[in-house]
Order: sequence, then structure tokens, then C-alpha cells
Amino acid sequence: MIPLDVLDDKTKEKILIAWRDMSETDKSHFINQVALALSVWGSDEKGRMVVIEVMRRMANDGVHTLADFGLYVEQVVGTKEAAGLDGKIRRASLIIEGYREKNALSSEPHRELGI
Amino acid sequence: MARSAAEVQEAPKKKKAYDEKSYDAMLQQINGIIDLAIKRGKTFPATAEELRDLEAKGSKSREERKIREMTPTPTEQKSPLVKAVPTKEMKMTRPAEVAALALEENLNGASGPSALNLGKWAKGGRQAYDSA
Repeated sequence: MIPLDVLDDKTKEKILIAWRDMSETDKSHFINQVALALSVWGSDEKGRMVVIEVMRRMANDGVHTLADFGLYVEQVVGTKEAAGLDGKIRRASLIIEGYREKNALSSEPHRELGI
Repeated sequence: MARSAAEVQEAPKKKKAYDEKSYDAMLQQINGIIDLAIKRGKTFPATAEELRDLEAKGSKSREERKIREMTPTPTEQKSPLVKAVPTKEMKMTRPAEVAALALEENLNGASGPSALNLGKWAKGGRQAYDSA
């Protein structure tokens, strides 16, 4: 089990609530995108931590569904969590964009509207 | 009834025990989600060729989106507010007054409380400007 100290409890809760409320189709799309990402940048502990960082950004941005994973991947380029993986992350982002295009997924995140 | 000293001491312990339990459960669940993705990755039908195809598709999609974002939409090209302003002969040139006049013109004939209030606001703005 990887340590998740980078996530505060509120963020963990947001991630779990989003996961709980997602449709099976969205869960499948999320898992496929993470699988594609890990297959490009590696599924070792560092690779997993990059996934966690992407999920942290999604939760803090108020997304409803983790199926928006691919829309947030490139945001971690240049961060300390992704040090040394920038090229692979950019490639993964393009591959996931192709996956999203192929499956007619939105190019905009599903966010809560703060009115 | 006041709580005994023992009860007061016990309460934070209970809360801490609960928090730790839910914290561990959350950790396990999030790790479980990522494990699912890793397991899927091992059986995911994405060969090197398929990855290249997806990458090419992604590049194309990104380029098309950039072009779309750079192309003005019909709404941006023909905004009714912008169109209304040059048709009126007026000495007002400051943006706020121009917008107020345009609003007044556009709301002429509109109904409903919001439209009414906006129209009043627009008239008020213009009168204030005229009397200045």
C-alpha cells in the first residue's frame, strides 16, 4: 500500500465520494485512463504517486467524476511529484486524449459550479 | 449532568480511534482503486501500435481544439450590444454609458421583472450621465 500523506482527509473524502457516485461506465473509463497512464510512465511507487497527485488536483478542482482523469494529467508536468517523468507524462496525456476522443468523452471537466 | 473526569478523558480517545479507523479505510479504498487500474493495465488491450494510434488521435484532437478555440464564434462576431451602439448618434463615448444606452435599446419591448429592472437601471445611468 502506498502512503497517501499528500492527501488531506477532506481530499480523500472527495475522491471516495466521487468514486462512490460514479456510474460503472465512468469507473471503467477512469480505470482505463489510469491503466494507460501507468503503462506509459510506469506503475512503480513514483508512477502511483503521480496518479495520486492528478487525483488530488481533480478533487481540489471539484470534479464530479474521476473519469475526467485525462483532462488533469498534463497539469502535473513540471511538479516535484513528476520530476523526471515530464516527457512520459506529456505522451500519456496525448494517448489518453486519443482514448477520450475515441470514446466520445468530454473535453471539459465535470465540475461543481460555485455560485 | 456533568461528565466524570474519566468520561472526559475517554471521549477524545474514542474520537481518535474512530478517525484512525476511517482514515485506514480511506487509504485502503484509494489504494484499491489504483490497484484496480494496475491490474487492468496488465490485461488492457493496448499494444505499442494501439498506443501510437491513440497518441496520433490525441495530437489531432488537440490541434483541432486549438483551432476551434482561436476561431471566434458567431456570437462573438455579432454581439447585439456591439451592433446597437454605432447605429445611434450620440456624443457619449465612455464604455459604461455606451453599454447603458445599448441595454436600454435592447430591452425596449422586453418583459419580466429582470428586464424591467435592467431597463430602469439603464435609464437611470443615462439620466445621471445627461445631467452631469
